[in-house]
Amino acid sequence: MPTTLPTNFWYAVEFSRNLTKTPVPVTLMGQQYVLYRDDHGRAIALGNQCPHRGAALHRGWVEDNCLRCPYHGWKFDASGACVNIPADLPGVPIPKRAKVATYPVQEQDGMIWLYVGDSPDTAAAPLPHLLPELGDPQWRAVYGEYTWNAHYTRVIESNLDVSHAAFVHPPFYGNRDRATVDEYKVSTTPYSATATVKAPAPKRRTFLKYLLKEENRYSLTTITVYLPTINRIEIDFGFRGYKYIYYTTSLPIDENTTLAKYIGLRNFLTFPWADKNSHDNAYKTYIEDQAVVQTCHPLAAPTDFQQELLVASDALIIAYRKLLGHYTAGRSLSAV
Amino acid sequence: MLRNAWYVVTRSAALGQTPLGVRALGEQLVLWRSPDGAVQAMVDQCPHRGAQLSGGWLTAGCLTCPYHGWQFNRAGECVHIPANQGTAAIPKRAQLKTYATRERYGLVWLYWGDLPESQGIPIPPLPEWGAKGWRAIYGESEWPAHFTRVTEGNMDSSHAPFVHSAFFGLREEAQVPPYRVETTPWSVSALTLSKPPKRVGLLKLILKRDRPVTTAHLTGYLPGVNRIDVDFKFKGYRFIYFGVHTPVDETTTRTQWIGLRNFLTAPWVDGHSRRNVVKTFEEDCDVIASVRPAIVPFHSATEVLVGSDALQVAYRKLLRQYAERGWWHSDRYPSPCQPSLV
Repeated sequence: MPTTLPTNFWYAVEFSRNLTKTPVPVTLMGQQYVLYRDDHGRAIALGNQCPHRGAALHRGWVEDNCLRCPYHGWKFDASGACVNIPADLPGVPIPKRAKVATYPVQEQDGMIWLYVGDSPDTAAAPLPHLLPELGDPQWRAVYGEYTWNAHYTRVIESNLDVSHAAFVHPPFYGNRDRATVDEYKVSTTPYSATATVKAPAPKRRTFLKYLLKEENRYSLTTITVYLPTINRIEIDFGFRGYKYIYYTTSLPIDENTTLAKYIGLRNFLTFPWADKNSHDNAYKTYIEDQAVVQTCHPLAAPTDFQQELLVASDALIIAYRKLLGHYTAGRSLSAV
Repeated sequence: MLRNAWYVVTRSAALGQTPLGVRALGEQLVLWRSPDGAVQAMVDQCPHRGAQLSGGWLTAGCLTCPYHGWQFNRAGECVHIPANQGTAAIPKRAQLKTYATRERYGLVWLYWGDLPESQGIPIPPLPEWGAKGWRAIYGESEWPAHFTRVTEGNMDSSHAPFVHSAFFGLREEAQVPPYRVETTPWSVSALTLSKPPKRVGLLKLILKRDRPVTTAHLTGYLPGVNRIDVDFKFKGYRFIYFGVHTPVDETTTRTQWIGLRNFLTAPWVDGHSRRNVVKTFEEDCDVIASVRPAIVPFHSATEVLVGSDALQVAYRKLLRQYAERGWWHSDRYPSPCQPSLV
């Protein structure tokens, strides 16, 4: 396991609904895994490299609940053991070393969770259950993903940032003269941090402008980070109970690349025709954030509190860096 | 890189009201003009959360970070943190490192060093710039090479018959007559004679067929500036190339150059003149990029230098003098004064 990632954690790596009999690859800081679902609907995770000649297994296929390597057809069962080598003559025993690693997997909140660490008993944090709204008929979900040219810690922090909107997101530009952030309280657990902040409403650019009265000047946003990769942002528009929840995992592909997979939930305009609008909002926000986040130096958010200058409105980010520093034992997270 | 010296970071004309991010001297810098037109230069990294300030804008004469709107004045001090409550003081550490700048010859120069400017290496003279009868053109190019190698390439009196196609005809007569090197505390120069090259392009029309010689007055200024003053020995026609080579980092060099001519000064000739310089660059680039060691050795025993290399020998001697004063700064090549660097 690369030392630049917190270990002994469950990582949300893929949408449950994306996992079928077709194998899919997962990359965490250069380390590759392959996921597939067997006939019983069980999710299986293996190392994505054939022990024979190193081919990536995710380009292969599933057969009898086993994964076939695309190169020479070696067949691996869910325990990672090779059970067939097509080129061997009958009676030739399969070498003991013909084995791929397996990893514990669970499903929760619409995500596949892969355990990275010693054994699930040593987990630093329980599998979170932060999305009870998913599946509730009052709520409509959209799924999406995008790739950031940034270190995953910077992406997570952009989701915790309560003071950038007036400068980075055009609908909030009108709020630059009232960009002061009221003091807010951060509550933490050993593996998460949460805060609720009050923010002036943006100028509406989308359907929301028809739904929200202008005198609703403030919205309440509850922001959570759950180590190692989960953010949850719940916006309460303060009008008829309308809420939007943005739930995302920020997967570290490498030092400078992060794959975000998100679920957006809304309890208003739950018709499918409004999905595109919801997608577009998330996408625009990402494009606007990425323009500045990809310039941040050093690549990884520093956990030492000397390199950067955090102020009161960064309280949530300070809490995140403390947690991160704890689980990475002060190791530098990036070379640059 | 040599400390206590001026380096060119952009052209004056390229810097307007919009902050400009420039990579130079191994650092990411932001350049901008305050409302009075003065050029400001600082480190392009917000002390708050590390965003590049060059993506930002000016607010009331202050550079504004595009991430959280922190505002910095021309001294690099943070003067406004929008998210802070009214009573919160601005931390002292909210401060950007700044650099002194000057505009000369239509170029923006940045002083890089720890000694006062008056004790550093001055900006070289260029009296023809702006003088009557001279026309100036500008250009920029990048080299995958160390700036000392680029500077030496521009003062090389013996490579033309082998590298530059206009001189290929002279390979049988490639001898370089001895020349005398004049040295000042920050420059080396020599007047060299050469057989005239094949007349190419417009020169075909304006130069006489039978000229015995062309002279080139070659000068190298510390840290990496070249002046090549070519006298065609015909009607007083001259072409002056003034090239400033600034390290982007220790493996890449950016050249801002000015071409000055006192003949065919009409603007329509500019493209022509520019093409000549660019072609010369292109011909030099491959060989200069291939040179090892990548940085010129300051120690005379490392390479085999001959009579025609007298100018390079003098340039290295100067570099060495300043290195011995402790003005040399390099992570990659910390001790070029030692023999045989790799």
